[in-house]
Amino acid sequence: MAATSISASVERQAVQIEEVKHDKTAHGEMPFVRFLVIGGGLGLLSLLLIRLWQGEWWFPVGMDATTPEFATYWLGLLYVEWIVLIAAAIIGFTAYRKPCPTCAVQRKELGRIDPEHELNHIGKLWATVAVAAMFGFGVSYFAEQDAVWHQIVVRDTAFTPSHIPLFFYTFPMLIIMTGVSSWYAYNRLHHLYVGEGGKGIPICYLLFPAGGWFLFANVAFNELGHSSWITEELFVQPYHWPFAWATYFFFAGFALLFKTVPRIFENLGEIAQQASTEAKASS
Amino acid sequence: MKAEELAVLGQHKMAKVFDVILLLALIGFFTVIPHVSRMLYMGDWDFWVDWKDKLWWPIAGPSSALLVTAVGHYLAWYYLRLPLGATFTAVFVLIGAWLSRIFSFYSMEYYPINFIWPATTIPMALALDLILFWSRSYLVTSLIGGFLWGFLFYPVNWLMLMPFLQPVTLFGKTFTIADLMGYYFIRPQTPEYLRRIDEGTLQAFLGQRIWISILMAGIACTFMYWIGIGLGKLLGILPMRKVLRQT
Ligand SMILES: [Zn+2]
Ligand SMILES: [Zn+2]
Repeated sequence: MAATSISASVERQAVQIEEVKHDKTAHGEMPFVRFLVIGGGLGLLSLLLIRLWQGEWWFPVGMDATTPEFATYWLGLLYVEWIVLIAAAIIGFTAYRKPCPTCAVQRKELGRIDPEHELNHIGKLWATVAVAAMFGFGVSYFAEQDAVWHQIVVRDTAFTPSHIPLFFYTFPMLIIMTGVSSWYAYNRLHHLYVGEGGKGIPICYLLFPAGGWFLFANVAFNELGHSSWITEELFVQPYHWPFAWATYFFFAGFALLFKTVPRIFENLGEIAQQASTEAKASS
Repeated sequence: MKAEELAVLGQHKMAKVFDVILLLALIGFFTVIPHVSRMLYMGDWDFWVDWKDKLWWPIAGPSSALLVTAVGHYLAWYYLRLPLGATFTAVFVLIGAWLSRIFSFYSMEYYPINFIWPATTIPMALALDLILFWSRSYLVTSLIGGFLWGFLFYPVNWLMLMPFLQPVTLFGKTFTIADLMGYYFIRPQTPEYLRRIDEGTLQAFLGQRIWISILMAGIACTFMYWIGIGLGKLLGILPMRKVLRQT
């Protein structure tokens, strides 16, 4: 009884390994496009909904932070954003926590990763960077919106209707999304950055999420400055500048991306070669 | 790999999807990075027409706009050999600024578009990319393209600014239309200093005043070009090679 079940499970495993080796399910498909469309779509939708919410409740209940309506409408939005952030962080970091099982099997059985499978990983890495970039777009929109908000309302709280999406949604979201990019590169494509079997941390893993972190860090400095001096006459005053310096770290995202470019062409070349030998064999 | 082989591989369906994703990432980051720099270095001069003066705006404006545009220009040339980076950055920063002006300044707080239009840098960006394309030299591009970037900023935008510099007389006082609009739309950023800089020794240069400013802007931008290149190298290219605690 026990012996048959073991042999059955071994057989099942062999079939699974055979499937995974040739990666029939993924052939010709690009799962990372789905990630891009869903991730980018949900992100864009969230930015759009926030903007609609602002249009509706910005003047009626946004002007005085001490009122109960402000707490309901604006702090309510803040808590919803935090739930979205926590969910995104948990999903993003647990989904890519373990190394890819397909890659592990292919390495063991074939001694290498199937070029098309690896291309799918690279595509997903690029897609995470593109989704992060979309939240960057939200940062620039809500930041300039904050400039115009301060033209009409005297500063009374750090949680204004323009700060709630800017400081407490798009900044942390950028930390999470750029962090997921680095995390994905570390768990799926580390061999492209440190060589096969190599160790170490490429600094582009660290510099890319550092942009979001420095943006968020300067919120502390900025609010401290605004609580001490009145600078509303000048938006280009010095304790806003570190926000601009922080965004320069996002250039490291292009180092993260372009490091994979030689491998993309290698893999595409191999796929083309495989196709031509298969065509010859069949004719 | 030879260029022809690369071109053939570039026709693969997957390669085309990679192109699209790269484009999306570039659009996102080359909107946010230059746009945040622009709003935090030349922000007030870019937001309001009555801030568009003859001393600070023609100098602070183009030099701060060049910083990140030069990074885009450099990274596009370094990684992709495309003389399009500066133009791409200039176009998307302007799109980002216009979205903000229309959907925040205008449709949320009702400032008229005439009062809040952003300055353009697209003509100078085209020149910068073309000069790099022709000369293949960062030095030549900084000396000619960088200089033109600063020097042309005011003349190019003057076409849009000109109508707001017409004089009006109201209650026995003469000021520009831009100033008058500023008095009607009271903001914390109502500029106190504009009246001050029209005094001082700069005034003694009479009609040459704007020429002095844009000459200075050209020189400032020649240097700023190199700061942009350094920034691109430091954060966009060097991280590709550096690995911590490698064993
Ligand atoms: Zn895998
Ligand atoms: Zn603010």
